[in-house]
Amino acid sequence: MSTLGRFLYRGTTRGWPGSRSSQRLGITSASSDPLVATLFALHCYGVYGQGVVYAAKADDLQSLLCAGNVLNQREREIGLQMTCEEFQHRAIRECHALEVRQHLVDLGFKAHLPERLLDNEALNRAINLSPRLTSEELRNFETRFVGV
Amino acid sequence: MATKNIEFVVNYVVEGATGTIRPIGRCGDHPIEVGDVFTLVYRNRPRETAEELATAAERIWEHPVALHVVEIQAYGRVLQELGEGMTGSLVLSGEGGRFVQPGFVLSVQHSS
Repeated sequence: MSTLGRFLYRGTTRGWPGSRSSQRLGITSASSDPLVATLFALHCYGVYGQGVVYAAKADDLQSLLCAGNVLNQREREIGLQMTCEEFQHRAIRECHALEVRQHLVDLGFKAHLPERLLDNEALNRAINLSPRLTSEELRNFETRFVGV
Repeated sequence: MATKNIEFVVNYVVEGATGTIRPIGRCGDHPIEVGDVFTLVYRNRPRETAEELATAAERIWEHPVALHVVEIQAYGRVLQELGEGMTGSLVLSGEGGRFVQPGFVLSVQHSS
């Protein structure tokens, strides 16, 4: 299993341990596309008032990768055999949803990034309507966001 | 008495075994359990632009259904419960399956 970029991103509520189901499964979902993770973070920001994006090095998590879930192609989702809290601990960067959004806006994705998302149907729609980043766009984002 | 809205946002629908449908999508803000019964399917006004997506949903159509959750799958496993925000596929049996379409929302209110 491979990832497109050098990082895996997870958009969530800060400190959220994951649902009971995901804890039982022992699987945490992340995305190789920061735009997808940012949409999740904007949903958390809109609904719960706190949304962040965590970025972890994909190389550090290779042994934990597993197949994504039912919408994995659309979401570029990667399953990880670890808890949400472990992902947060292993992240090298944590950033507020609006700050990550601004990085992506600067790279030309404003039309695909609402300032917030207020419900799950809007989240699904935003994911379905938005493009996935190309390899070059991913590199540009990594340079801006993670500084590599 | 408090109520919680159990919802499932449908991305697409696969025809299941006789009398069942298999919607694939995302669980809302409360877990879905095997045995739950969706009582309503509704559709929001389509939101296309980033500005529209940042606004609250506006329900424009709804229809009563009686669809029982008989199976839940996620990550290739059969589960008893689909957690909030998780994607998965459901097997539903009962009345009203033909009204379940991509982009629609299945809903049930539970009292607690």
